[in-house]
Amino acid sequence: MSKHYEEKDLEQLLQSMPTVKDNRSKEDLLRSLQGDERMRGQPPKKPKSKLPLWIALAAAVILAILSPSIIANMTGKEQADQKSESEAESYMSETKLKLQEESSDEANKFTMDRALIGKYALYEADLKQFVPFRLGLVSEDALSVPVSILIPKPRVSSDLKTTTPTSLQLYEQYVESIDEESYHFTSYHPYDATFEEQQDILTMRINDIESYSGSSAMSEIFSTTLEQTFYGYKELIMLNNEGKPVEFAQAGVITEPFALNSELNRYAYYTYSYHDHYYVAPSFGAKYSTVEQALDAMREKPNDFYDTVIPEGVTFTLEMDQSRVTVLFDEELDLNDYTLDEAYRLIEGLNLTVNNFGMELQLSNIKQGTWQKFDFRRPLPKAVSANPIRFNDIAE
Amino acid sequence: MDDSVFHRLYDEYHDDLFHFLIYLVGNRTDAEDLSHEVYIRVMRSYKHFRGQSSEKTWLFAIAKNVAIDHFRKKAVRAKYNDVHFDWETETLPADDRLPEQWVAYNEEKSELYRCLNRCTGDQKLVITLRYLQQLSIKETATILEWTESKVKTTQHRALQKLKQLMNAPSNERGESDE
Repeated sequence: MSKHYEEKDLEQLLQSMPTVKDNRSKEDLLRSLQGDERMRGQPPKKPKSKLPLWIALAAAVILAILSPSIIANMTGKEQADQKSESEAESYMSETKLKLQEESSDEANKFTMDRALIGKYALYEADLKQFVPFRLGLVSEDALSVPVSILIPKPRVSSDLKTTTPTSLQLYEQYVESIDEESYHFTSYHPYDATFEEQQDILTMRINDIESYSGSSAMSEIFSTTLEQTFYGYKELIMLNNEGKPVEFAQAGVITEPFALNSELNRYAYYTYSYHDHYYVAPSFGAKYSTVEQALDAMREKPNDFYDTVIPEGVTFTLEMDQSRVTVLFDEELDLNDYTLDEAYRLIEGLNLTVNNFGMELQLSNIKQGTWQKFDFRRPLPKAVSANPIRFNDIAE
Repeated sequence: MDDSVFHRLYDEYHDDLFHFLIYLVGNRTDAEDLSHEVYIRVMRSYKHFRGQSSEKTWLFAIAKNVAIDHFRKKAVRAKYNDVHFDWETETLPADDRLPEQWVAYNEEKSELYRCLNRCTGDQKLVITLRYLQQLSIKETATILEWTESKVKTTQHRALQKLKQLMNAPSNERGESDE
C-alpha cells in the first residue's frame, strides 16, 4: 500500500470498522446462562425480615421459653441475660446454617464440617480429632493455595505409629493418595525429589530442577508450595541429584538454605474464588514486613485473581500492643448483614493474617458478642492452618 | 435469575458488548465465552449496581475486567514457557484468526486491525472504546477506572503507533498477511 495515513485518516477508518455480530440467538445465550451452576447455586442472602416461616416460629418458641428466665434475671444479672440472648442467637445462627447447608448445591462439597470451629481455618481445638496434612495446591491459574487435609487421628496413628508426625512423614505417607485434579487443581505433587529430615532442617534432593525453575513463575510456585507444605522446620537445603547445591535458571546456584517459616509466613489472606469454591490464600505468596502493612493491604482487592475478605463499605482502625492486634470496626458490624460464608472469610482471613505474624487477634465493635463458635469478647483462638478440607479418599 | 433483567440488558447492549469483546480477543469462540462470563457477573451483581455510572459504562467495566482476566490467565500459563507479559507495555497475545466477516473486508481495514493487535493492551482498549464503541473520553475513563488525562495520552500514543505501523513498508510491519 502506498497511501500515507494521518491521524485523521486512521480515526475515520477506525470509526468505520465492521460491526461483528454474535451468531447465537438471545434464547441460546439465555439457556446457556440458566444452565450455568453459578446462576443456580448462589445462596440467597436472607434478610432477617424474610426468614422462612418455620424458622421464625422456631425462634419465637425458643425466645418464649427463654423469656421467663430473662425476665427473672432482670434484677441485673447481665451475664445471664447475655448468655440467654447469645444462646438464642447461637441457635438461630445454627438453624440458618442448617438451612443454607441444605439448600447449597454440589459446588459446596467442601462445606464446613460442623465439628470444626471455623470454615476457612483450623484451630488447636480441632486437632483433638484430626491431624492436618498441609499442602500447597497449584491451581490452573498457576497460583498456590494452602489447604489442610484432615486425616482422622486413628488413621494416622495406625499408619505412622504416632499421632504427632512431622510434615515430611505426612507428605511421604499420604501425598500419593491425593487426587489434586478431583479438586480441580493441577497434578503438581509429589515433588520429583527425595527428602531427609534432621530435627528442624529438611534436605531436598531434586531430580530435575528444570521442571521447577525454568521461569520466574515456576520458581515462585515452587517456593510458595514448599513453604505452604512443610512446617515445623527452620530451613530447607536444596541439592541436585548429585548432592550439590541446585542451580535455578533465574537465581543461579543456591548456596543458602531456603527459610521455612510456616507458622510465621507473614502473608495477608484474601479470598480466592476457584471453580465455584472459595479459599483464603495469600496473593501470589506475597509477604509483608509488619502486620500493619498486611492488614492495610487487605483493605483493597489486590488484583483480578483475588478479592479482599473485607466486605465493601466496612472500614476499621488498628490498635496494637506487643502480642495483640485489635481490629476496631469503625461502624458496628452486624454479621447477619452478610452471608455465612462472607462472615467466616472476614473473621478467619483477618485471624490467619494476624496469627501468621505471631500475634493474636481481637475483633471489636461487632454487634454479636458471640457468633457460631466465636466469642468476640476475647481474642480469637489461634488459627493453625488454612482451608480445612476432608480427604474423602481416606476411610475414617 | 431474573430473566427480565437479562432480556433488557441483552436488547440494549449485547451488540455493542459482543463487538467490543470480539475486537479485543480476535476470535469468535473466545468472544462468546467471555460474553457469557460478562452476563454471569452482571446478573450476580446487578442488585449492587448503584447507578453511580450509567448502566452501559458499568456493564462495559465488567466486560473490560473479564477481558483482562482472560489475557492474564493466558499470560500466566505462558509464563511456564518463560514468556513475560506486562499488560501496560506489551502487546496482547491476541489470536490472529479474524472474524469471518472480514474475509469480505477491504484489505485496508484488515491491515488496520492487524496493526491494532500490535498496540499495547492499554492502547487497544482505548482505541476500541473510543472509536469502535464511540464512547466519550469521560465514559472511557469511567470504564477503565483511569483519569481522563490518561485516556487522552494513551489514545494519542495509540494513534501515533498505528500511524507508524500503517505507514511502514509492509515488510517492516513484522507480521505477514494471513
